[in-house]
Amino acid sequence: MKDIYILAIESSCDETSVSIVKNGKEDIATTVNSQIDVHTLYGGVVPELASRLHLENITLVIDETLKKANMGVEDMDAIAVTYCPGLLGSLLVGLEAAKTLSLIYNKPFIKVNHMLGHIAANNIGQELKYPLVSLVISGGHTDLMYMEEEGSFKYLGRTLDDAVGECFDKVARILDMPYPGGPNVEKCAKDGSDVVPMPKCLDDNTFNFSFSGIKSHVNNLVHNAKQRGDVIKKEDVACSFQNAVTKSLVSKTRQALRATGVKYLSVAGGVAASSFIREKLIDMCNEESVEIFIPDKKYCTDNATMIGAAAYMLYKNGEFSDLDVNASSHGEL
Amino acid sequence: MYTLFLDTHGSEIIVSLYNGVKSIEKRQESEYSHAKFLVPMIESIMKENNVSFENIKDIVVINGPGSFTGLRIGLSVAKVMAYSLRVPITTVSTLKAYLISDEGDDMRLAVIQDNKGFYICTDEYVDEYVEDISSYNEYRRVPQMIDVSKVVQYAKSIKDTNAHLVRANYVKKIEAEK
Repeated sequence: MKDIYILAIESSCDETSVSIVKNGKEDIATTVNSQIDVHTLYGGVVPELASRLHLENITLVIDETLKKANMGVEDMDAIAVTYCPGLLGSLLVGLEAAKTLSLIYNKPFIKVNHMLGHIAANNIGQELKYPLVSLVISGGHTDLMYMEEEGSFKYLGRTLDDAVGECFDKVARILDMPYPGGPNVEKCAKDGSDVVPMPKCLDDNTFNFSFSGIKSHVNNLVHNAKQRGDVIKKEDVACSFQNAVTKSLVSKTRQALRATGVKYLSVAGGVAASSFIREKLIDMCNEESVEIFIPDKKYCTDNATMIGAAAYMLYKNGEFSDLDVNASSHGEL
Repeated sequence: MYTLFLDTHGSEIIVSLYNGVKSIEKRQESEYSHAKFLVPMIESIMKENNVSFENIKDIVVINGPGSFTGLRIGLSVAKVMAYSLRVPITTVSTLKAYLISDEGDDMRLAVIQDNKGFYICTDEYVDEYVEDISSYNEYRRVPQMIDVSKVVQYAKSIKDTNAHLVRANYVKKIEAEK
């Protein structure tokens, strides 16, 4: 069978990324232009600023990727792009760039849901097995899904309030750590002990999550200590917080695996880049005799390779789109 | 050979093919759907006039001020197109385009109002954003109208931009930067 090359663009949040992916699993060339340094100055992603930077960088990122691959757009079999969910202004830059390439080079156009991209990151260099339970953990999502086969999605549960990554970012901010919170909390937690009492995150018989309670708890803890003039050990707070949140992720995922009886777990999303959370989920899967799929860390955070991997699933089914697609800040699978 | 002209700064999208004599145009009212219309408009205007991308010799695009989102949609398309086709691209300020499209030679002021103030430009001064324009009372406000032929001809008299360096002329800083 002929090899299929897809040029994919991702610009849903604060990384401008372009990738060329072969047969949905081989990363031929990828460029990720991260805006983290800029947004760190403001303590989080500033949407208008993110959109401006995407527009400034888009052709440079396309150019660098083509050069690295030593290929041209004419060598592609399709053009793919994230069209939802994400920051509208950011999505639009990648979307319009992709449509323009598709029009000029007369290539099929594939719109990709960012969440499918996260899951498809598990097809890069390996191949997902079905049926599976999918856990997507990121700054915008905490979703548990059941997938009977590729392309079928049944939501089991999700966060009722903050996404897990969002909660890490907010707690980092409360503890005076810079954005992005996850890696900083994890680093800090290494030097602490789990001695600060934390409330249990939503512990019921659903597959839903809730992280706003624990966030408020940390906020009150730090605030009250400040008012009393007490010194709190940041490392201990970070460690206790991270443990409590991870326990919730592990226990809900375990419940979902047991309830569905499946033997495969797919974990994806930016928070899946956390070594601590990866380790705890792997331990749980060993206990449950479940095979776990987690992408390399570089494919957990936003990147266009995963969009190319997801686009290949759609390409196989002939799921192409017209060039009048609009971006959407929301979008379920 | 044609110049492709794009304007997405406001609620009317303009796509034009200019052949040095006349401007073949498509205009489309769009409140919040520029992304839905723009690329299909380019596709259809080219098809209907039997123009292929090899016939596009340069691009002229309005880069603001105006709707931030609208501008980014037009500029994303324009810069990727200039980069891919390896053709020159020239950006023109919205306010400058209003002045060029107007006939008069009196004291003229181009204005775009938003909820907090005014983007303004005269024949003497470049684009700026002010909260009060009472000091410009003696100026005549030119219509918010774009004459594509005039704007494209003006664009030929100014320097083109490297496609990678094409940016929006937002004029205003974002809140977080203040």
